[in-house]
Amino acid sequence: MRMRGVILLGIFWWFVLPEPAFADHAVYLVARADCPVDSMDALDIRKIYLGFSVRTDANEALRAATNLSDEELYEIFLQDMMAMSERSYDRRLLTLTLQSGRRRPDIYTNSEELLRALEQDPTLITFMWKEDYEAAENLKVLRVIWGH
Amino acid sequence: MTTPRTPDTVQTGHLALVRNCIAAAVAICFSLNPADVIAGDSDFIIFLSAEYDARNGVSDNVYPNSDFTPSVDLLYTYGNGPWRILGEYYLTDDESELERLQLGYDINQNSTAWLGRYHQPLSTWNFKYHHGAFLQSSISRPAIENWEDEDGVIAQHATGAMFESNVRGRNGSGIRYTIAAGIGPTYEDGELYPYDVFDPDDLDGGIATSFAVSFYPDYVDSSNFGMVGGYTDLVVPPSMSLGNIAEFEIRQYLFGAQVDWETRWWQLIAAAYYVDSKPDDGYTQYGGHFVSAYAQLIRELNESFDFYVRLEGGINTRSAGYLSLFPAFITRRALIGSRFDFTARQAIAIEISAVETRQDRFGEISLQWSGVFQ
Repeated sequence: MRMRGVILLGIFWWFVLPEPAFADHAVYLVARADCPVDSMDALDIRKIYLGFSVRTDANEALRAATNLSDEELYEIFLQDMMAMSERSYDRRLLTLTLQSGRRRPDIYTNSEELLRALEQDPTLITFMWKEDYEAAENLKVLRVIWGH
Repeated sequence: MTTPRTPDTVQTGHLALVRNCIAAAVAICFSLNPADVIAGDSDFIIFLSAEYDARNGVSDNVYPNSDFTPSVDLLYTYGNGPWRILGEYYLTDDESELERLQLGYDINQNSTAWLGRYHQPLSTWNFKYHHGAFLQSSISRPAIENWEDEDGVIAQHATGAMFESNVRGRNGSGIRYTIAAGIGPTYEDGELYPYDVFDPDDLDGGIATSFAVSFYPDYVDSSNFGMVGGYTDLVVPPSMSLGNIAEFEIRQYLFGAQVDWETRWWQLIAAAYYVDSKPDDGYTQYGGHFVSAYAQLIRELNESFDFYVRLEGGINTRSAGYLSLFPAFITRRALIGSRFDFTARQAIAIEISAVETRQDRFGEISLQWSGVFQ
Protein backbone atom coordinates (compact mmCIF):
# COMPACT_ATOMS: atom_id res chain seq x y z
CA MET A 1 0.00 0.00 0.00
CA ARG A 2 2.78 2.35 0.92
CA MET A 3 4.56 1.72 -2.39
CA ARG A 4 1.37 2.35 -4.32
CA GLY A 5 1.02 5.68 -2.55
CA VAL A 6 4.53 6.70 -3.51
CA ILE A 7 3.90 5.79 -7.15
CA LEU A 8 0.63 7.72 -7.25
CA LEU A 9 2.31 10.72 -5.66
CA GLY A 10 5.08 10.50 -8.26
CA ILE A 11 2.55 10.43 -11.11
CA PHE A 12 0.73 13.39 -9.57
CA TRP A 13 3.90 15.47 -9.39
CA TRP A 14 4.83 14.42 -12.95
CA PHE A 15 1.67 16.08 -14.26
CA VAL A 16 1.41 18.95 -11.78
CA LEU A 17 4.99 20.19 -11.66
CA PRO A 18 6.15 22.54 -14.41
CA GLU A 19 8.52 21.11 -17.01
CA PRO A 20 12.19 21.16 -16.09
CA ALA A 21 13.94 24.46 -16.50
CA PHE A 22 16.00 23.25 -19.44
CA ALA A 23 12.82 22.80 -21.49
CA ASP A 24 12.86 26.57 -21.97
CA HIS A 25 16.38 26.41 -23.27
CA ALA A 26 17.52 26.12 -26.81
CA VAL A 27 20.92 25.35 -28.29
CA TYR A 28 22.08 27.39 -31.27
CA LEU A 29 24.92 26.91 -33.68
CA VAL A 30 26.43 30.36 -33.97
CA ALA A 31 29.20 32.29 -35.65
CA ARG A 32 30.32 35.89 -35.93
CA ALA A 33 27.76 38.07 -37.71
CA ASP A 34 29.99 38.43 -40.76
CA CYS A 35 30.66 34.70 -41.07
CA PRO A 36 30.69 33.81 -44.79
CA VAL A 37 27.91 31.24 -44.33
CA ASP A 38 24.37 31.96 -43.14
CA SER A 39 23.27 28.43 -42.37
CA MET A 40 24.66 24.92 -42.13
CA ASP A 41 22.98 21.60 -42.77
CA ALA A 42 23.23 18.80 -40.24
CA LEU A 43 25.69 16.80 -42.34
CA ASP A 44 28.13 19.70 -42.61
CA ILE A 45 27.93 20.27 -38.87
CA ARG A 46 28.70 16.64 -38.18
CA LYS A 47 31.52 16.77 -40.72
CA ILE A 48 33.19 19.80 -39.23
CA TYR A 49 32.87 18.44 -35.68
CA LEU A 50 34.56 15.23 -36.80
CA GLY A 51 37.44 17.14 -38.31
CA PHE A 52 36.42 16.86 -41.96
CA SER A 53 37.07 19.85 -44.14
CA VAL A 54 34.09 22.15 -44.70
CA ARG A 55 34.62 25.15 -46.96
CA THR A 56 32.58 28.15 -47.99
CA ASP A 57 31.70 29.00 -51.60
CA ALA A 58 34.79 31.22 -51.57
CA ASN A 59 36.86 28.15 -50.56
CA GLU A 60 37.44 29.45 -47.03
CA ALA A 61 37.84 26.67 -44.49
CA LEU A 62 35.44 26.80 -41.56
CA ARG A 63 36.62 25.79 -38.10
CA ALA A 64 34.70 24.27 -35.22
CA ALA A 65 34.99 25.03 -31.54
CA THR A 66 33.53 22.73 -28.90
CA ASN A 67 31.83 24.53 -26.05
CA LEU A 68 32.60 22.57 -22.90
CA SER A 69 31.62 25.30 -20.48
CA ASP A 70 28.48 23.39 -19.53
CA GLU A 71 28.23 19.62 -19.32
CA GLU A 72 24.49 19.56 -20.08
CA LEU A 73 25.03 21.68 -23.19
CA TYR A 74 27.72 19.30 -24.41
CA GLU A 75 25.49 16.28 -23.80
CA ILE A 76 22.68 17.85 -25.82
CA PHE A 77 25.11 18.61 -28.63
CA LEU A 78 26.39 15.02 -28.67
CA GLN A 79 22.92 13.50 -28.55
CA ASP A 80 21.05 15.80 -30.90
CA MET A 81 23.75 16.76 -33.36
CA MET A 82 26.37 14.03 -33.39
CA ALA A 83 24.10 11.14 -32.34
CA MET A 84 26.98 9.63 -30.40
CA SER A 85 27.93 8.93 -26.84
CA GLU A 86 30.82 10.90 -25.39
CA ARG A 87 33.05 7.82 -25.58
CA SER A 88 32.14 7.12 -29.20
CA TYR A 89 32.74 10.73 -30.21
CA ASP A 90 36.11 10.88 -28.50
CA ARG A 91 37.26 7.62 -30.09
CA ARG A 92 36.00 8.66 -33.51
CA LEU A 93 37.90 11.94 -33.32
CA LEU A 94 41.07 10.13 -32.27
CA THR A 95 40.65 7.55 -35.03
CA LEU A 96 40.19 10.21 -37.71
CA THR A 97 43.19 12.16 -36.45
CA LEU A 98 45.27 8.99 -36.45
CA GLN A 99 44.07 8.11 -39.95
CA SER A 100 44.79 11.32 -41.74
CA GLY A 101 45.86 14.02 -39.35
CA ARG A 102 42.50 15.73 -39.37
CA ARG A 103 42.29 18.75 -37.12
CA ARG A 104 40.05 18.16 -34.14
CA PRO A 105 37.83 21.01 -32.94
CA ASP A 106 39.38 23.29 -30.35
CA ILE A 107 37.79 22.95 -26.96
CA TYR A 108 36.78 25.83 -24.75
CA THR A 109 35.84 25.31 -21.12
CA ASN A 110 35.41 29.01 -20.52
CA SER A 111 32.55 30.93 -22.17
CA GLU A 112 34.42 34.25 -22.13
CA GLU A 113 37.37 32.73 -23.96
CA LEU A 114 35.03 31.18 -26.50
CA LEU A 115 33.35 34.52 -27.16
CA ARG A 116 36.74 36.18 -27.60
CA ALA A 117 37.73 33.47 -30.08
CA LEU A 118 34.50 34.04 -32.02
CA GLU A 119 35.15 37.78 -32.09
CA GLN A 120 38.57 37.19 -33.61
CA ASP A 121 37.67 34.64 -36.27
CA PRO A 122 34.69 34.92 -38.66
CA THR A 123 35.20 31.33 -39.83
CA LEU A 124 34.85 29.86 -36.34
CA ILE A 125 31.55 28.21 -35.46
CA THR A 126 30.35 26.89 -32.13
CA PHE A 127 27.22 26.00 -30.20
CA MET A 128 25.79 27.71 -27.12
CA TRP A 129 22.64 28.21 -25.09
CA LYS A 130 20.10 30.59 -26.56
CA GLU A 131 20.48 32.94 -23.55
CA ASP A 132 24.23 33.13 -24.06
CA TYR A 133 23.68 33.98 -27.71
CA GLU A 134 21.18 36.67 -26.81
CA ALA A 135 23.55 38.14 -24.26
CA ALA A 136 26.44 38.21 -26.70
CA GLU A 137 26.87 40.75 -29.45
CA ASN A 138 27.78 40.50 -33.09
CA LEU A 139 26.82 36.83 -33.50
CA LYS A 140 24.36 35.12 -35.81
CA VAL A 141 22.50 31.81 -35.67
CA LEU A 142 23.43 29.24 -38.30
CA ARG A 143 21.10 26.55 -37.04
CA VAL A 144 18.93 25.62 -34.09
CA ILE A 145 20.43 22.41 -32.79
CA TRP A 146 17.89 21.76 -30.04
CA GLY A 147 14.76 23.48 -28.73
CA HIS A 148 13.08 26.47 -30.35
CA MET B 1 34.07 14.66 -18.76
CA THR B 2 36.48 13.99 -21.58
CA THR B 3 38.42 16.94 -22.86
CA PRO B 4 39.96 15.73 -26.09
CA ARG B 5 41.86 18.84 -26.97
CA THR B 6 41.90 22.14 -25.23
CA PRO B 7 44.10 24.88 -26.64
CA ASP B 8 45.06 26.21 -23.23
CA THR B 9 45.93 22.79 -21.80
CA VAL B 10 47.78 21.73 -24.90
CA GLN B 11 49.84 24.86 -24.86
CA THR B 12 50.81 24.68 -21.21
CA GLY B 13 50.94 20.94 -20.54
CA HIS B 14 54.03 18.85 -19.98
CA LEU B 15 53.89 17.71 -23.56
CA ALA B 16 54.13 21.24 -24.92
CA LEU B 17 57.92 21.13 -24.93
CA VAL B 18 57.98 17.80 -26.78
CA ARG B 19 55.33 19.05 -29.16
CA ASN B 20 57.28 22.19 -29.93
CA CYS B 21 60.51 20.23 -30.43
CA ILE B 22 58.73 18.06 -32.97
CA ALA B 23 57.28 21.15 -34.62
CA ALA B 24 60.77 22.58 -34.91
CA ALA B 25 62.08 19.33 -36.42
CA VAL B 26 59.21 19.28 -38.90
CA ALA B 27 59.90 22.87 -39.79
CA ILE B 28 63.51 22.04 -40.53
CA CYS B 29 62.60 18.92 -42.54
CA PHE B 30 60.08 20.80 -44.68
CA SER B 31 61.90 24.16 -44.81
CA LEU B 32 59.17 26.01 -42.94
CA ASN B 33 59.48 28.82 -40.44
CA PRO B 34 59.67 27.12 -36.99
CA ALA B 35 57.67 29.94 -35.40
CA ASP B 36 54.84 29.41 -37.91
CA VAL B 37 54.83 25.69 -37.29
CA ILE B 38 54.79 26.03 -33.51
CA ALA B 39 51.99 28.60 -33.73
CA GLY B 40 50.08 26.60 -36.35
CA ASP B 41 47.39 23.95 -36.03
CA SER B 42 49.40 21.08 -34.67
CA ASP B 43 48.47 18.12 -32.58
CA PHE B 44 50.58 15.67 -30.62
CA ILE B 45 49.12 12.43 -29.28
CA ILE B 46 50.83 9.59 -27.43
CA PHE B 47 49.41 6.08 -27.49
CA LEU B 48 50.92 3.86 -24.80
CA SER B 49 50.43 0.17 -24.21
CA ALA B 50 51.95 -2.73 -22.31
CA GLU B 51 51.09 -6.30 -23.24
CA TYR B 52 51.88 -9.63 -21.64
CA ASP B 53 51.32 -12.88 -23.56
CA ALA B 54 51.55 -16.36 -22.04
CA ARG B 55 51.35 -19.46 -24.22
CA ASN B 56 50.56 -23.01 -23.31
CA GLY B 57 51.48 -26.01 -25.43
CA VAL B 58 54.04 -24.39 -27.72
CA SER B 59 56.02 -27.22 -29.28
CA ASP B 60 58.40 -25.44 -31.65
CA ASN B 61 60.66 -22.45 -31.14
CA VAL B 62 58.78 -20.01 -33.35
CA TYR B 63 56.79 -18.52 -30.47
CA PRO B 64 58.21 -18.07 -26.95
CA ASN B 65 56.31 -19.34 -23.94
CA SER B 66 55.73 -15.78 -22.85
CA ASP B 67 56.67 -12.25 -23.75
CA PHE B 68 56.13 -8.74 -22.53
CA THR B 69 55.88 -5.81 -24.96
CA PRO B 70 55.70 -2.19 -23.87
CA SER B 71 55.06 0.22 -26.72
CA VAL B 72 54.83 3.93 -27.43
CA ASP B 73 53.21 5.36 -30.53
CA LEU B 74 53.80 9.06 -31.12
CA LEU B 75 51.54 10.88 -33.54
CA TYR B 76 52.22 14.38 -34.73
CA THR B 77 50.01 16.30 -37.15
CA TYR B 78 50.31 19.79 -38.50
CA GLY B 79 48.02 21.75 -40.78
CA ASN B 80 48.50 25.09 -42.47
CA GLY B 81 45.89 26.01 -45.07
CA PRO B 82 45.67 23.17 -47.57
CA TRP B 83 48.93 21.60 -46.34
CA ARG B 84 49.13 18.80 -43.83
CA ILE B 85 51.99 16.91 -42.26
CA LEU B 86 51.48 13.63 -40.45
CA GLY B 87 54.19 11.70 -38.64
CA GLU B 88 53.89 8.51 -36.61
CA TYR B 89 56.81 7.04 -34.70
CA TYR B 90 56.54 3.67 -32.99
CA LEU B 91 58.81 2.31 -30.26
CA THR B 92 58.78 -1.01 -28.47
CA ASP B 93 61.40 -2.92 -26.51
CA ASP B 94 62.80 -4.32 -29.75
CA GLU B 95 61.94 -1.80 -32.47
CA SER B 96 62.08 1.90 -33.09
CA GLU B 97 60.72 2.99 -36.43
CA LEU B 98 59.26 5.95 -38.23
CA GLU B 99 56.04 4.31 -39.36
CA ARG B 100 54.57 7.17 -41.34
CA LEU B 101 55.79 10.52 -42.55
CA GLN B 102 53.38 12.12 -44.98
CA LEU B 103 53.11 15.53 -46.57
CA GLY B 104 49.52 16.15 -47.67
CA TYR B 105 47.80 18.72 -49.83
CA ASP B 106 44.03 19.22 -49.70
CA ILE B 107 43.11 19.62 -53.36
CA ASN B 108 39.59 20.49 -52.28
CA GLN B 109 37.46 19.71 -49.25
CA ASN B 110 36.96 16.13 -50.42
CA SER B 111 40.35 15.16 -51.82
CA THR B 112 43.87 14.97 -50.45
CA ALA B 113 47.14 14.02 -52.14
CA TRP B 114 49.94 12.62 -50.00
CA LEU B 115 53.64 12.05 -50.49
CA GLY B 116 55.85 10.08 -48.16
CA ARG B 117 55.77 6.85 -46.20
CA TYR B 118 52.27 5.63 -45.57
CA HIS B 119 50.24 2.62 -44.48
CA GLN B 120 48.83 0.83 -47.50
CA PRO B 121 45.06 1.23 -47.89
CA LEU B 122 44.69 -2.46 -48.75
CA SER B 123 44.62 -3.31 -45.05
CA THR B 124 41.21 -2.48 -43.66
CA TRP B 125 42.26 -2.86 -40.05
CA ASN B 126 45.57 -1.02 -40.19
CA PHE B 127 44.24 1.84 -42.26
CA LYS B 128 41.75 2.48 -39.49
CA TYR B 129 43.67 1.80 -36.28
CA HIS B 130 47.32 2.17 -37.42
CA HIS B 131 49.46 1.65 -34.28
CA GLY B 132 46.92 3.08 -31.84
CA ALA B 133 46.41 0.07 -29.56
CA PHE B 134 43.91 1.98 -27.42
CA LEU B 135 41.50 2.46 -30.30
CA GLN B 136 41.06 -1.20 -31.23
CA SER B 137 38.98 -3.22 -28.82
CA SER B 138 40.98 -6.42 -29.18
CA ILE B 139 44.55 -6.85 -27.97
CA SER B 140 45.74 -8.70 -31.05
CA ARG B 141 45.12 -7.86 -34.65
CA PRO B 142 44.14 -10.54 -37.18
CA ALA B 143 47.21 -12.39 -38.48
CA ILE B 144 46.63 -11.29 -42.07
CA GLU B 145 46.72 -7.66 -40.84
CA ASN B 146 49.97 -8.01 -38.88
CA TRP B 147 52.74 -5.51 -39.45
CA GLU B 148 55.76 -6.68 -41.43
CA ASP B 149 57.95 -6.94 -38.32
CA GLU B 150 55.25 -8.81 -36.40
CA ASP B 151 55.14 -11.83 -38.71
CA GLY B 152 53.03 -9.99 -41.28
CA VAL B 153 52.80 -11.54 -44.74
CA ILE B 154 51.36 -8.54 -46.62
CA ALA B 155 53.20 -5.30 -47.40
CA GLN B 156 51.66 -2.77 -45.02
CA HIS B 157 54.06 0.14 -45.56
CA ALA B 158 55.11 1.80 -48.79
CA THR B 159 56.90 5.00 -49.71
CA GLY B 160 55.49 7.04 -52.57
CA ALA B 161 52.25 8.84 -53.34
CA MET B 162 48.68 8.34 -52.16
CA PHE B 163 45.42 9.98 -53.17
CA GLU B 164 42.28 9.98 -51.01
CA SER B 165 38.88 11.26 -52.04
CA ASN B 166 35.27 11.27 -50.87
CA VAL B 167 32.21 11.47 -53.06
CA ARG B 168 29.11 12.63 -51.24
CA GLY B 169 25.78 11.21 -52.33
CA ARG B 170 22.51 13.14 -52.38
CA ASN B 171 20.90 11.07 -49.65
CA GLY B 172 23.72 11.55 -47.14
CA SER B 173 25.64 8.48 -48.24
CA GLY B 174 29.14 8.57 -49.61
CA ILE B 175 31.92 6.69 -51.33
CA ARG B 176 35.51 6.98 -50.21
CA TYR B 177 38.39 5.73 -52.26
CA THR B 178 42.14 5.69 -51.87
CA ILE B 179 44.81 4.76 -54.39
CA ALA B 180 48.51 4.53 -53.70
CA ALA B 181 51.73 3.68 -55.48
CA GLY B 182 55.23 3.50 -54.09
CA ILE B 183 58.21 1.39 -53.14
CA GLY B 184 57.32 -1.79 -51.31
CA PRO B 185 59.27 -4.16 -49.07
CA THR B 186 61.98 -6.75 -49.49
CA TYR B 187 61.94 -10.21 -47.94
CA GLU B 188 64.86 -11.35 -45.80
CA ASP B 189 65.17 -14.16 -43.26
CA GLY B 190 61.52 -14.77 -42.55
CA GLU B 191 60.41 -11.15 -42.54
CA LEU B 192 59.28 -8.38 -44.86
CA TYR B 193 61.33 -5.18 -44.61
CA PRO B 194 59.61 -1.97 -45.74
CA TYR B 195 61.70 0.60 -47.55
CA ASP B 196 63.43 2.88 -45.03
CA VAL B 197 63.59 6.47 -46.28
CA PHE B 198 66.28 7.36 -43.75
CA ASP B 199 68.61 4.52 -44.66
CA PRO B 200 70.29 5.24 -47.99
CA ASP B 201 71.85 1.78 -47.98
CA ASP B 202 68.48 0.14 -47.60
CA LEU B 203 67.71 -2.34 -50.35
CA ASP B 204 64.92 -1.05 -52.59
CA GLY B 205 61.81 -3.14 -52.81
CA GLY B 206 59.75 -3.33 -55.96
CA ILE B 207 56.65 -1.37 -56.78
CA ALA B 208 53.70 -1.54 -54.40
CA THR B 209 50.30 -0.32 -55.54
CA SER B 210 47.03 -0.56 -53.68
CA PHE B 211 43.50 0.75 -53.57
CA ALA B 212 40.47 0.75 -51.31
CA VAL B 213 36.93 1.80 -52.12
CA SER B 214 34.15 1.84 -49.56
CA PHE B 215 30.50 2.76 -49.44
CA TYR B 216 29.27 4.68 -46.40
CA PRO B 217 25.48 4.73 -45.99
CA ASP B 218 26.06 7.75 -43.76
CA TYR B 219 28.85 9.85 -45.21
CA VAL B 220 30.36 10.85 -41.85
CA ASP B 221 29.59 7.68 -39.94
CA SER B 222 32.17 4.92 -39.58
CA SER B 223 30.01 2.04 -40.86
CA ASN B 224 31.05 1.00 -44.34
CA PHE B 225 31.73 -1.89 -46.65
CA GLY B 226 33.91 -2.15 -49.69
CA MET B 227 36.75 -3.68 -51.60
CA VAL B 228 40.52 -3.47 -51.48
CA GLY B 229 43.26 -4.63 -53.77
CA GLY B 230 46.89 -4.32 -54.55
CA TYR B 231 49.93 -5.45 -56.46
CA THR B 232 53.33 -5.79 -54.79
CA ASP B 233 56.62 -6.71 -56.36
CA LEU B 234 58.51 -8.33 -53.48
CA VAL B 235 62.28 -8.44 -53.87
CA VAL B 236 64.15 -11.37 -52.31
CA PRO B 237 67.90 -10.76 -52.16
CA PRO B 238 70.42 -13.64 -52.14
CA SER B 239 69.98 -15.51 -48.90
CA MET B 240 71.57 -18.40 -47.03
CA SER B 241 68.31 -19.44 -45.46
CA LEU B 242 66.51 -19.84 -48.78
CA GLY B 243 69.62 -20.94 -50.63
CA ASN B 244 69.17 -18.52 -53.54
CA ILE B 245 72.44 -17.14 -54.87
CA ALA B 246 70.69 -14.57 -57.05
CA GLU B 247 67.99 -12.03 -56.27
CA PHE B 248 64.50 -13.02 -57.32
CA GLU B 249 61.07 -11.44 -57.21
CA ILE B 250 57.62 -12.48 -56.11
CA ARG B 251 54.77 -10.67 -57.85
CA GLN B 252 51.86 -10.64 -55.48
CA TYR B 253 48.25 -9.80 -56.26
CA LEU B 254 45.71 -9.16 -53.52
CA PHE B 255 41.97 -8.69 -53.68
CA GLY B 256 39.71 -8.37 -50.71
CA ALA B 257 36.33 -7.39 -49.35
CA GLN B 258 35.63 -5.83 -45.99
CA VAL B 259 32.86 -4.63 -43.74
CA ASP B 260 33.05 -2.44 -40.66
CA TRP B 261 29.58 -1.99 -39.22
CA GLU B 262 28.66 -0.23 -36.00
CA THR B 263 25.36 0.14 -34.20
CA ARG B 264 24.83 1.62 -30.76
CA TRP B 265 25.97 -1.54 -28.96
CA TRP B 266 27.48 -3.79 -31.63
CA GLN B 267 30.39 -3.63 -34.02
CA LEU B 268 31.34 -6.12 -36.72
CA ILE B 269 34.71 -5.96 -38.44
CA ALA B 270 35.28 -8.60 -41.08
CA ALA B 271 37.51 -8.99 -44.09
CA ALA B 272 38.54 -11.66 -46.57
CA TYR B 273 41.64 -11.48 -48.74
CA TYR B 274 42.63 -13.54 -51.75
CA VAL B 275 46.40 -13.47 -52.21
CA ASP B 276 48.15 -14.92 -55.26
CA SER B 277 51.96 -14.97 -55.30
CA LYS B 278 53.92 -15.60 -58.50
CA PRO B 279 57.69 -15.95 -58.03
CA ASP B 280 60.31 -15.90 -60.78
CA ASP B 281 61.04 -19.18 -62.56
CA GLY B 282 63.06 -21.50 -60.37
CA TYR B 283 61.38 -20.34 -57.16
CA THR B 284 57.82 -21.47 -57.74
CA GLN B 285 57.88 -23.33 -54.41
CA TYR B 286 57.34 -19.88 -52.82
CA GLY B 287 54.24 -19.10 -54.84
CA GLY B 288 50.64 -20.22 -54.76
CA HIS B 289 47.44 -18.64 -53.66
CA PHE B 290 45.50 -18.59 -50.42
CA VAL B 291 42.51 -16.94 -48.80
CA SER B 292 42.66 -15.48 -45.33
CA ALA B 293 39.56 -14.18 -43.58
CA TYR B 294 38.41 -13.02 -40.18
CA ALA B 295 35.33 -11.72 -38.44
CA GLN B 296 35.31 -9.92 -35.12
CA LEU B 297 32.11 -9.14 -33.28
CA ILE B 298 32.18 -6.64 -30.42
CA ARG B 299 29.39 -6.13 -27.93
CA GLU B 300 29.56 -2.92 -25.95
CA LEU B 301 27.97 -3.82 -22.62
CA ASN B 302 28.01 -0.23 -21.37
CA GLU B 303 30.20 2.86 -21.71
CA SER B 304 33.10 1.01 -20.04
CA PHE B 305 32.87 -2.68 -20.88
CA ASP B 306 33.34 -4.41 -24.23
CA PHE B 307 33.12 -8.10 -24.93
CA TYR B 308 34.35 -9.54 -28.23
CA VAL B 309 34.92 -12.73 -30.18
CA ARG B 310 36.97 -13.25 -33.32
CA LEU B 311 37.43 -16.12 -35.73
CA GLU B 312 40.27 -16.29 -38.24
CA GLY B 313 40.84 -18.90 -40.89
CA GLY B 314 41.43 -19.42 -44.54
CA ILE B 315 41.88 -21.67 -47.52
CA ASN B 316 45.26 -23.07 -48.61
CA THR B 317 47.00 -21.33 -45.72
CA ARG B 318 48.78 -24.59 -44.86
CA SER B 319 49.76 -25.45 -48.39
CA ALA B 320 50.53 -22.11 -50.08
CA GLY B 321 54.29 -22.00 -50.72
CA TYR B 322 54.46 -18.26 -50.08
CA LEU B 323 53.36 -18.75 -46.46
CA SER B 324 56.19 -21.25 -45.90
CA LEU B 325 58.39 -18.14 -45.87
CA PHE B 326 56.60 -17.02 -42.69
CA PRO B 327 56.60 -19.86 -40.15
CA ALA B 328 54.96 -17.71 -37.47
CA PHE B 329 51.91 -16.92 -39.59
CA ILE B 330 48.74 -17.87 -37.75
CA THR B 331 46.55 -19.96 -40.03
CA ARG B 332 43.59 -20.32 -37.66
CA ARG B 333 42.58 -18.62 -34.46
CA ALA B 334 39.52 -18.38 -32.26
CA LEU B 335 39.51 -15.89 -29.44
CA ILE B 336 37.35 -14.24 -26.87
CA GLY B 337 38.19 -11.12 -24.96
CA SER B 338 36.96 -8.31 -22.82
CA ARG B 339 38.02 -4.74 -22.31
CA PHE B 340 37.38 -2.37 -19.45
CA ASP B 341 37.87 1.38 -19.89
CA PHE B 342 38.63 2.43 -16.33
CA THR B 343 39.05 6.07 -17.33
CA ALA B 344 37.98 7.93 -20.46
CA ARG B 345 41.32 7.21 -22.07
CA GLN B 346 42.81 4.20 -20.34
CA ALA B 347 41.76 0.59 -20.63
CA ILE B 348 42.75 -2.91 -19.60
CA ALA B 349 41.91 -5.97 -21.65
CA ILE B 350 42.17 -9.73 -21.48
CA GLU B 351 42.10 -12.10 -24.42
CA ILE B 352 42.10 -15.90 -24.58
CA SER B 353 42.96 -17.57 -27.89
CA ALA B 354 43.29 -20.99 -29.47
CA VAL B 355 45.99 -20.62 -32.13
CA GLU B 356 47.19 -22.72 -35.06
CA THR B 357 50.23 -22.07 -37.20
CA ARG B 358 51.41 -24.28 -40.06
CA GLN B 359 53.38 -26.45 -37.66
CA ASP B 360 52.05 -25.80 -34.20
CA ARG B 361 48.96 -25.46 -32.09
CA PHE B 362 48.79 -23.72 -28.71
CA GLY B 363 46.70 -21.67 -26.35
CA GLU B 364 47.41 -18.06 -25.53
CA ILE B 365 46.29 -15.62 -22.88
CA SER B 366 47.05 -11.94 -23.27
CA LEU B 367 46.73 -9.01 -20.89
CA GLN B 368 47.05 -5.42 -21.99
CA TRP B 369 46.95 -1.95 -20.59
CA SER B 370 46.53 0.86 -23.11
CA GLY B 371 46.02 4.58 -22.94
CA VAL B 372 46.13 7.76 -24.93
CA PHE B 373 47.66 11.00 -23.69
CA GLN B 374 48.14 14.48 -25.07
